[in-house]
Amino acid sequence: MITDNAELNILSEISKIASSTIVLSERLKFITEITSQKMNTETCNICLFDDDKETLILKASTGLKQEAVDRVKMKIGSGITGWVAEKKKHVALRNAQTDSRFLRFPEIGEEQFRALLSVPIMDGNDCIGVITVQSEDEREYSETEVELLKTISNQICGAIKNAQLYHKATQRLSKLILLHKIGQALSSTLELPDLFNLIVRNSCKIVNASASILWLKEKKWLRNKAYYSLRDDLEFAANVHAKYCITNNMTEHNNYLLLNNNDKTAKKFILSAIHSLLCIPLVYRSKILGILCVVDKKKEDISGYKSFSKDDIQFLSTIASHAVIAIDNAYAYEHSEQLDAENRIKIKELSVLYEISLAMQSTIRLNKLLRIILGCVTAGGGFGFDRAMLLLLNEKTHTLQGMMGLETDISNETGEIWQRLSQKNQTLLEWLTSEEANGQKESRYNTFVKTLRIPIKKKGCVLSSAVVKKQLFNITDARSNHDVDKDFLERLGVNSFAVVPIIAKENILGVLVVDNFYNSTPITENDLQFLSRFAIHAGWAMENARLFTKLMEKNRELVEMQDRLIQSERLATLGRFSAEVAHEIKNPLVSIGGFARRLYETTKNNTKEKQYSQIIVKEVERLEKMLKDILNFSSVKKPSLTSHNINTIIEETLSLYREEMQRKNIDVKLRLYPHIQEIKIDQYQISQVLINLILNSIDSMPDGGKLSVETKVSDRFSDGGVMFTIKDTGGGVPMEALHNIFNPFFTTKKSGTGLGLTLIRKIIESHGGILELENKPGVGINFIINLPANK
Amino acid sequence: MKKILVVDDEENIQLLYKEELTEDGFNVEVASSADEAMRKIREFSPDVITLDIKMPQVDGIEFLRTLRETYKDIPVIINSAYSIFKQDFQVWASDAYIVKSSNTDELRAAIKKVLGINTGE
Repeated sequence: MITDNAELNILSEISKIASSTIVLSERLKFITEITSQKMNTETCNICLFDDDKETLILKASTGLKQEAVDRVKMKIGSGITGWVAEKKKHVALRNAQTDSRFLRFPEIGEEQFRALLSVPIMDGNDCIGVITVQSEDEREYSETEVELLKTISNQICGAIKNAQLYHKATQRLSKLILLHKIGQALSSTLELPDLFNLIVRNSCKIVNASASILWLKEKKWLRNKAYYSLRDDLEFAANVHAKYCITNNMTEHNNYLLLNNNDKTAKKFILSAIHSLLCIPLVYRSKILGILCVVDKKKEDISGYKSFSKDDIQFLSTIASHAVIAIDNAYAYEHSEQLDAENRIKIKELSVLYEISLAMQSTIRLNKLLRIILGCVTAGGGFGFDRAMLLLLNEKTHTLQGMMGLETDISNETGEIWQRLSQKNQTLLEWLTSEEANGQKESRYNTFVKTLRIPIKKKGCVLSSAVVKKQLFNITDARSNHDVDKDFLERLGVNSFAVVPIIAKENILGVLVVDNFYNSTPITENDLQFLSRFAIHAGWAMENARLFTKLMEKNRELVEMQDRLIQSERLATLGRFSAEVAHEIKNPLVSIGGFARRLYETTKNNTKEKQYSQIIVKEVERLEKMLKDILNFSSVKKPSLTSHNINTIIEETLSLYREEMQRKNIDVKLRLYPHIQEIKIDQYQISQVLINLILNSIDSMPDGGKLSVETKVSDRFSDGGVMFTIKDTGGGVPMEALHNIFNPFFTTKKSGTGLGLTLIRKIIESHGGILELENKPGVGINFIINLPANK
Repeated sequence: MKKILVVDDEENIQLLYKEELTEDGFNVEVASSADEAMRKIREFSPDVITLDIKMPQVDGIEFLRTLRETYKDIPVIINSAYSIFKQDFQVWASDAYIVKSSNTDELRAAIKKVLGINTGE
């Protein structure tokens, strides 16, 4: 008999347990213990429905075998418990075993019990379980006991709901924590494969699925990028055509799709049999990147699968939204790393090219430029080849001519010129023009290159083809290539090389041939691209050098021509002047001088008349000489060549002035080569030369001196010739006047026209000879004249 | 006494040469033009002629050409202010080419040489 007090007591205790925080199963166990105790029954057990509401499971028991807890199940409607759950009505039986509804479970050990009171645990209108008490004896349960058990069942319901809520909340919290961790992981910079694995692993975990798979869209296909499976029997498609992209079937509001095994679309993704499939699209900025799927949600505590809940959809969607951003970021990062690497290479290349082009612009001398070009190509450090040669096109002969060949400095172990440059803080130009770089001795390779002469019309020769077609050739297997000349290949000594034409303004200047003779590294696409760009720079530099040289030459020619023009104008003026006026002056001079002479001869000595007439004679002589010079100068014609012995002419000319030189204390020294060959000269003109030189020397030594005349065989001409020198000790020509001595009208003497040396030069040049002088200011001057045999 | 015909259009030069050559013991006649020279040759029969090139109307070169058509053997010494023709006429119709100078030594030496007179140098 249960008193009201006892009832309150029971309820109070049960209520305490129900609202405690201990685990539900423990709470239920306590409840069965108290209920059994307080209601004075042998057993008390609680069965609860599982998630699908079809099966009742024994969850707690006092008095029955504990092994049966969580194992014994009954379908709704089967057994007394099933009936109570189905009908949502209580059952009180004096002897349950005689009831037709009774279902025996040997494993729970209830054979000895007779009386049974079973009450549904109701949550509103839903039955969530059944609580049952049993006694060994047959008896009737009173109304009070039935009401008490109903009240207890309400408490249990509260406790269960509380526990379930708590459990859900805990679960939710742990899922949220997991989600947070996933979110953090996804926002870190992971490599793509690691990222994919993270996504599938955590997706599986968070919704308690059997497997999770990630497909990403690549053009028209969905490619399986990663999966995480807890089962061996599951098989996933590697590639699915994007037309099966589930997102196409998604509704506007539901961005997911739940499929079951029978769905045709599901079978495209999961090849093995499944219970359920949840798919979430990965959408970023309105573009579909792929699909995240989870398969077969596991039931908690017991085996088997159940459907994915709304919570699962929400969780997976959250993961998907984080994942898609992370994937996009990772792709972008990967792409940017690639670009960065490419850019770094390009920047390095560009800065190398910049340095190279600076170096190449530093000189317009062709040889130095070729050295720089080849030096750059063999410099090492990723842009270097072992050997390089330059051949230039000779437009007249239509051949490629080998100019220079350079090998990398193989004695340098690092070979890393660029690194060394930055270490030494040197520019490329400084290094290339340094002692170190230029210290290479003449190599066999260079010698070989210089012998190369390849006609551009030659067939079966790749170098000629490069010129004709203006294109680059990379020969990887020369031996089996019909376009490679075998003789050239043998002398080159490698099986692979590249040929690059050097072009400037669409004109071919030549070709550059490179190879890796020592390290045999194949020539890569990158190498070829660099070579092409480099060849453009080289072409410009060479064209510049060529144009500059041409310009300098033309400029020089123009300056010379201008000089000559000015001179010839002066000379022409002189010629005109002399031809007419000089002649007119001569006759009167003859009369003046002639009669003055007669006067001089007929006047008495020591008279003023004698002195005056002498002055007139001398001045006339001076004028006559001037006129003679002018007339001689303007009248130098083409030499009339006849064979003569220069020694004879010298001796004859000297004899005319021997007396004068003796008077002026000028010592004459002769060294005439006795076996001198006869040469063809204009005797009169060469005599003029000698006369002018001798007179100049005499004039320069008014107080005496030495005049040395020498003849020798000349080695300046291919057909032989003679050399003669006239050397004096007359003090020479001052340095500042030296460049002017051959100018007409210039003279350092007080008297004289200045035409003497100009005349000499004219005559020597018209003989095809060479006029040189050695001037020692303060000492004297030595004229050296070489005349060809003129045979 | 040997006879010399001086052909020159300059009167002063004629006078100078006449004085100088007369002192040397020659019989000297002068002519101022080609025509006069031809006449004097016929009349005077000189042993040697000194000939200037630049003369009015007919110059010395042309005169010489004409002269040689008739008088092949009379020695002619060209005595001109021009020096440019010197080489041409060495092998031409004259026997010597003397460039005019106030010093007549060279001319006189040439005359004596042409006449085969021992100069005694």
